[in-house]
Amino acid sequence: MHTKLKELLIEELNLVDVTVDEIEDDAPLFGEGLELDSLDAVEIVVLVQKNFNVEIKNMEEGKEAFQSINSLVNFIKEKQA
Amino acid sequence: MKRTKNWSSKSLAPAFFHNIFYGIIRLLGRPGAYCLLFFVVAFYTLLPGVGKRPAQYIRRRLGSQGWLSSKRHTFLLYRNFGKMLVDRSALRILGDFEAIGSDEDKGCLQKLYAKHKRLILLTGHVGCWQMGFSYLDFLDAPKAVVMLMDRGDVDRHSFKWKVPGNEGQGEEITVINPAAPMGGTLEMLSALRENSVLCINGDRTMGEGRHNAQVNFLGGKIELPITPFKIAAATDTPIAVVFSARNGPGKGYFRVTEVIHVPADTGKGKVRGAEAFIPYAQNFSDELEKYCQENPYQFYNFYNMWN
Repeated sequence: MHTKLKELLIEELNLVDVTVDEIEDDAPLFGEGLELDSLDAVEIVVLVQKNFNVEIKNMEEGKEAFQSINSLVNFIKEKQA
Repeated sequence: MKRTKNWSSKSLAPAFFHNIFYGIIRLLGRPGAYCLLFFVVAFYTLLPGVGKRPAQYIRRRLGSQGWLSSKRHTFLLYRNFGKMLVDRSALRILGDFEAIGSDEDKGCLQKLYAKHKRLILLTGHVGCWQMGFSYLDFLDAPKAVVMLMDRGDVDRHSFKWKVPGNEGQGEEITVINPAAPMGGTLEMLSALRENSVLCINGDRTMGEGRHNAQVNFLGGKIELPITPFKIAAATDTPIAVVFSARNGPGKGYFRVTEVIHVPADTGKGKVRGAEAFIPYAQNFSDELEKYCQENPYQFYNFYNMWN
């Protein structure tokens, strides 16, 4: 799931010059790390729902899920269980 | 580059003066407050720092015709803004505001909502936008508004709306703070998923340049946020551009001027990022300009919007 998620992020967020291998599993998605921002969060919420059928409902859930690729994968797995 | 916004929602006057207005509204009603307003507005018009704030707008929309003429325009702008604030307080205190709109426009909004089960209303800081929820009582839907409330706002309580016919109880309205983490975007998505009508002011940026689109407005370039268009694209939600104008004491007219559909794949083709949303932002800007041509003294962005 890690690789699929990274591929989706690169495609949907238009992360030019970034490869799957360059995205570290535990690096922060927002701020430092991938330097994503609020409108990228909109894309992530939509792509997670579309591809994994999991809803990120609010900032409480987003805070937990958006820390890194690892935390996003864990969040999706938890919700799917 | 991270930039800060160049406007503030903070009231000019301290809480004490607001309380005087509330007292007068309770004792003498709206006319008494309008009378006091005349002198307050005259004071602020002559106050150098405050009086100059709408100068760029006045120059572009009303022309530069000397000191006296400029002060007259400033006075009329501030007076209309003040009357809108009095009307807002009177609505909260007396539950009294007459929001008018055509059956055609109401039918348009009802159809859009019925088809999509969610709707974005895009407006600006014009007319009597803060009484918009009085107009929306015909839409049987949860409502949410994106509204910045600066820390220390002395009139925060005025943002609790009452809807006429609702026994003064006030309709439950979700307020989403764009200064919250992630700019409140997750809450906006959530509101739309819960089939809400989401109201956004589209004429002020929050300072993040990457999410702003440069558009033409009144003969110059301004930046508008792309957030409403991005969220509309992500959620397949139509945008209705709605503007209001005060047309008498405690009265306002609401008009749907445009419906904008932003395709889901906007920003994912050849043209990416904020650039892809420029046509939609320009469309909104054009509607705002038309509004300013019709209602030159009901435009309340009192800062230099132009680059």
